[in-house]
Amino acid sequence: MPYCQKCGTEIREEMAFCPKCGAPLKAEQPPVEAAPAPAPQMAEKAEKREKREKEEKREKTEKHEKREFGVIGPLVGGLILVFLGLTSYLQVSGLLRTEVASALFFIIIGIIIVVGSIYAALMASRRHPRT
Amino acid sequence: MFPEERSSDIFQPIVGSWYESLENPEKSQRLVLLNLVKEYEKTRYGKNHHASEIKEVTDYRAKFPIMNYQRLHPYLAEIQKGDYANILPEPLACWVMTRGSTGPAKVLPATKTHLEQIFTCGARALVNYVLRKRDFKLLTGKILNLNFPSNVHTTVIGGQTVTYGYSSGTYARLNPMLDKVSLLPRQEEIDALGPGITKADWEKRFELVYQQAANENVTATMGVTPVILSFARYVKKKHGKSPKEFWNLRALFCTSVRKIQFKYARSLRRYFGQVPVVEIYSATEGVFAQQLDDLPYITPNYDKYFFEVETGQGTKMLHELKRGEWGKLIISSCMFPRYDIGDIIEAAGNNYFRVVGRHTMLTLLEHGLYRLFFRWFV
Repeated sequence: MPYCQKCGTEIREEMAFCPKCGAPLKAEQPPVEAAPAPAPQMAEKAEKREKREKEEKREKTEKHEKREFGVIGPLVGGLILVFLGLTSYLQVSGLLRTEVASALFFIIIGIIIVVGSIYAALMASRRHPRT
Repeated sequence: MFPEERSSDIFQPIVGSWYESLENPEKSQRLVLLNLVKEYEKTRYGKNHHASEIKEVTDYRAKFPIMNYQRLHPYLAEIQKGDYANILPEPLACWVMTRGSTGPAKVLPATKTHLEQIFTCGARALVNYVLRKRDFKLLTGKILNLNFPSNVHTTVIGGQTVTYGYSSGTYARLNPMLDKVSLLPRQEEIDALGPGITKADWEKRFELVYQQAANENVTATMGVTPVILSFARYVKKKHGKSPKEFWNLRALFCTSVRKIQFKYARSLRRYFGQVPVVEIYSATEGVFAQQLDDLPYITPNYDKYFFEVETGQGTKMLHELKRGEWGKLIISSCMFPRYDIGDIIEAAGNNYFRVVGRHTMLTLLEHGLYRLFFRWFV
């Protein structure tokens, strides 16, 4: 799998521009004048810097992913509370029988959890494809 | 002073055809489609999809599939090699990129017609506001330039080195109309600070904007909404006063995010004072709609773009949607036919719409629940 030379993001063959930084990937290369070979110390420093930058980028991506997945928990929790409140209200006001309400409650909660899990799994497989 | 009596003549080319299109969107959209199809006929993509045989909207839908940025990749690679006619009806004018805050960073080509539409439609919100409120003083002051840099990467096309950058900055730099309303600072000065978009880079830009604007008559700001808000917070934190204590702004023209009126307007007014917040629905791909009046909705540019919506009941024209109907927005422009812009839009009746958000599972779930609980009241 090729990588963007500017930011190190994994890219697909058919891409013309990096999806992360927007750098060109398939353009003709501008003519570059022959530069003197870097001194060993300089090369070492550059390598370290590159390593540090890659590490920072990885951490950033992880944080971003955590933030994104962090939304699902509160959302599912919120939906459960809303539904709980709604069924309680309908029971109190006599619009729904208790046995029907509890059956409905478990079905809906189950659906919410299954949908949430499928969504989380889809997002995870998109971010970490097997191939 | 601005010549008020001549205002209608001056502004007619900017808003005239938009106002006309709102009176009969169906007629306007049909005309736009026929003109677009003529342009698509010039491209190999158009020829492959039999553009010349299209007479009606139904033909168009049958012959042209919906495309998105992912499907554009091979065509973009061809353009980059210098072969624009594969997909574009006219030569490439420049490249523009998005910042990637709502998805992957995108780099898109821009043609002369596309740029002209951006400049005309980009000015509509401001001109419409000035005409509606008779607030010509807005045009006599400076407008804060809080745009992104327009020089980020270079590429070589046909032996020539081409520089490109973020669309907001590129459009601001190339827009000849902005000479008349005085952007502060000029886009070249923003570009001179470098291409970065880290917090430190933005603080450098904000400081430049503040230094240049501190003693000027600033009447408006126009740009990406979170950037406008970040600038206000920076000024308050760094210089101890809110922007409303430095400038008497007459309006804020805000773009690029959803829920501008419901989420951002309150925070913006805390820093800028009780000023009108005018929403513009724009992206790198175009300026598609803007606020027509005080209602917190946007009204499409029916005269420039062809709008379709994929709803639960099939594909419909945007103007056909009834209040409460919603779906995925598909836009045909002078560059790309049937392009999935990736946004969800909801009709509010009478040419009023609101952009619900990006087309993601979370937005669909959120909006589905919103409709479930509140459709009886709204």
